[in-house]
Amino acid sequence: MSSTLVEFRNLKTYFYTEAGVVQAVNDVSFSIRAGETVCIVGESGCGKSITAMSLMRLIASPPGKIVGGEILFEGRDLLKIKESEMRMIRGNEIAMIFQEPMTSLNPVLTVGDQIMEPLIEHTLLSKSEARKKAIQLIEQVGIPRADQIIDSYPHELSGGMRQRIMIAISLSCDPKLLIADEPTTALDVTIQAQILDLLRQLKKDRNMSLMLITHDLGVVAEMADYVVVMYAGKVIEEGPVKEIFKNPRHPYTKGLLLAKPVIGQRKERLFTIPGQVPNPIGLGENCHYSDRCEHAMDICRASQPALQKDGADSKVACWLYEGEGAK
Amino acid sequence: MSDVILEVKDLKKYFPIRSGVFQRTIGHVKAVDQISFTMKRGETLGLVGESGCGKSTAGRTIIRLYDKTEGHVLYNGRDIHQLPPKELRKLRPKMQYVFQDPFSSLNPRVKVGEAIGEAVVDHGLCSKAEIREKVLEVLNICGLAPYHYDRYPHEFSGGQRQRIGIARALILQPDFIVLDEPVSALDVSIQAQIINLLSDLQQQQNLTYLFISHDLSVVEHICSSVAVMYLGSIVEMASRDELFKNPLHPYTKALLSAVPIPDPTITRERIFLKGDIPSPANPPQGCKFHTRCPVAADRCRTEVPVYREVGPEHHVACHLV
Amino acid sequence: MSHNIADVQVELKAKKIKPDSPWRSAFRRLFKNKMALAGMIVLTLMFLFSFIGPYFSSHLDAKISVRNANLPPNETHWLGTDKLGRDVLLRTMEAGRVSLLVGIVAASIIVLVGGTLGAIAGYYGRFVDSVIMRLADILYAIPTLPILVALGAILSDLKFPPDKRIYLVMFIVGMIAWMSLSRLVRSQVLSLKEQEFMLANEVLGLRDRRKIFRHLLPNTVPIIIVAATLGVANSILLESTLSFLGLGVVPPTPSWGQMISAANNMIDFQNRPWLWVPPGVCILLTVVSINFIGDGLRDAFDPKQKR
Repeated sequence: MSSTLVEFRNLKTYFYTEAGVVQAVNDVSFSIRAGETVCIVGESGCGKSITAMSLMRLIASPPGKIVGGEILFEGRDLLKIKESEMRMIRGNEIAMIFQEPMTSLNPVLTVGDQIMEPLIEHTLLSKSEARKKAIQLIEQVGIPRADQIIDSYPHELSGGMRQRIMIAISLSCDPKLLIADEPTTALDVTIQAQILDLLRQLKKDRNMSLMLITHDLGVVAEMADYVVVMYAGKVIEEGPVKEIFKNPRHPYTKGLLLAKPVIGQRKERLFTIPGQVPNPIGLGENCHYSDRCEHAMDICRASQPALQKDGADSKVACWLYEGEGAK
Repeated sequence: MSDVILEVKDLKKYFPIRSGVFQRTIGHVKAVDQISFTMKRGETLGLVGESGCGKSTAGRTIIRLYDKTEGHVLYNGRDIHQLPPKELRKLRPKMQYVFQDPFSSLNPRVKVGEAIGEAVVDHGLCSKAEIREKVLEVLNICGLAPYHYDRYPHEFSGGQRQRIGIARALILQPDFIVLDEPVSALDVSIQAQIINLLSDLQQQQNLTYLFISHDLSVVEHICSSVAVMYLGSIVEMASRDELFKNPLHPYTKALLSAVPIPDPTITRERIFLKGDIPSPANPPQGCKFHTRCPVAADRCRTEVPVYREVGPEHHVACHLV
Repeated sequence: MSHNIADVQVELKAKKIKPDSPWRSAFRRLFKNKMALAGMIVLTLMFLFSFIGPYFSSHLDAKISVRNANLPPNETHWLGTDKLGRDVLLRTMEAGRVSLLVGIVAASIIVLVGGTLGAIAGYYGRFVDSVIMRLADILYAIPTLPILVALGAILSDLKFPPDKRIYLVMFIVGMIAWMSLSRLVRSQVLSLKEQEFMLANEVLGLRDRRKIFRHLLPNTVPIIIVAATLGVANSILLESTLSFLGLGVVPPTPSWGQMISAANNMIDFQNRPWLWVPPGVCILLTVVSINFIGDGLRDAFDPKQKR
């Protein structure tokens, strides 16, 4: 396999709220290799977006704070460098696209202005060169009539087009890593298919890494090389995509796969995971999934399992695969 | 029990586009453009389509949350768009609606128990003394606890709020419920809970559902028949098994192929649709789908296809079928 | 569904707290806000000072005495006396009654008129909305001070009884300030009407009465409370301005603005600060603390909104 591009080591990002401390990301470690698509899967509030925002160092503080750990990007700890250096990395080497293509574009600037901005900022191109490059980028993300689109305003474009523009902006400086935070959740299925196809194509052409955050297991299956499953601020399982879908280990991963209705595989009744996601404030020292887990044992309610190697390239944090449960 | 409960005939709902100082009407958004279908008691009809195709507007016009522009909606044989307000109010409890957004569909300042019970009291279906008991019963059916009665909506998670929304509809003992994307805002694990709850309730109380959704996998799971909408019109309608096994309209085929399947070992032939959905204010001439259709012929650009029966209970509007 | 019940029972054991009503949590947030708390304390003291204070004064019977005129602060008259020999401390207290009362009554008029008209305009829309809002626009467009000066002159000509004049001041102050509240309430009602829960009420077939009084109005109360609080402060200021210009409360009835107005010659201003500093400080303290409370209330009711 190729070299490691990003490595999260014991990352902890907490939010200090009125009601208490939210351990949004609690001791998260995993890595992203060059040219690989890593999907972070989990339900709302599991900390998947906060992990990405921590990598970009975009956590609003207060109330948020990265309280521990390291994020190594090509061997450099991003949490230790100066803000000015970070700014050079953001947009230049790591780019990010968001869920809402409506709100992440500035409504009073033309699309072209917004694509050219990082080009002029980071690559020292002249204005006319930047415009040429911008038109190229718009063509690359599959929008016809690029020379007209460049002068239009965001509100004149549809949701899918805006997401394409966002992708064009993020690609402007040839990033090594593209973070996509639920890039297709706000879009319709036919548009989603277009955007996913575009991302896959761009990743292949540019050999960049893709960190894709999603709650949709269908998207994961289509896009991912490697999958990281998060629950209540922790990584509970990770592994190559085929392994995760064929041989899920953690009861939560299994439950998620069973709970999702799949076209062409209709069941009379859906499997359900009982209960709710736990309140992120005041989580105990138990396995956070133990309240909902059908295999919960005494040890699960007493202490937290560590993320352990299980199989060639997979890891799982569950007492069933450790100690007395492993029988 | 296969009697017809709902009959929609050529229903149209246009929203005027106003402009200028005098708010003159300069055009119409044809949100629902002549749709027709019938529903039998106890069945679930899935209404699918992409955003802006008019599926929610259709659902709301059918129970007269919006006034129709043209056409008829017969509920148990009575045209509900002709009813005087008093009669309509009396009929309201029988036709309920569950909203997509479990956050904005509950008043933040009203306790959950009261929110569920107030309509029963308001309609005089139950005395004030019995109301608490009745609400507790419904809470229990919907998988909520008695102590939830005195709580406020903001103390609940999305899934629990959706249960509250269902309880609020259920307590009125409706026959017909429009479910407007009831699980789209929920996480996968919670989504399955709500879908199972809806199935259970349907069996126990012989409910009829109009299930509006953009998620075809959920629709396949819960619906007995499916209607596909595009730009305000139904382009194809068939029983569930027929539609998913033998889709005829190119749009239905494309929709089905676009749904990502959670299995990395499957690679499918995918039909990519070109471009975006046209504006319903200015739909294309001829077949509305021809601008994105991969197989469009010359005829499709000029002639509107007729919505016709092509097989048993299988309707489609396409020249090429 | 069986596990749901079981799981709910687990939850039941875990949570035995009182329901957290939006009102309760708002007030909890208010009391956590130090500025607002300080404002409430100062304002309470101000009320005690104005309404209870005079009963502890030893100068109640000693009204006017020229012998004691213009005394600087001393042992018997802690804040000195004015040009008619009246105790300034007592007079500041009595003026406080008037000023606070004017503020409260005027704010009530603002809430009553502005709230009702705003709610009507927002709920019924169309023609009613146009009429009410255009009326508000017209009133907004009239410059306040010139009108007041003209009004004051007319009233003086009409020989309006001076002791009744205070009620007129309350009325005028209220009537020229209701428009902004009515706009706030109207826009709030309009946005509430678009909320899905109002549509849900339609589905449930609720009566209009219940829709308005149970669902619409309680949701406008927060902004009305905030506006009313700030309205009190503004009315006190406006009354002071009016009295200072000689258009408001007329002697012998005191008000803070009127006391400052009485000291508006160069000699008083330079040499007898005890005449105008106490009422000035009172206005300042009152208005500032009410504004702190108002800001605190706004944050408490709408914690998501950032300033």
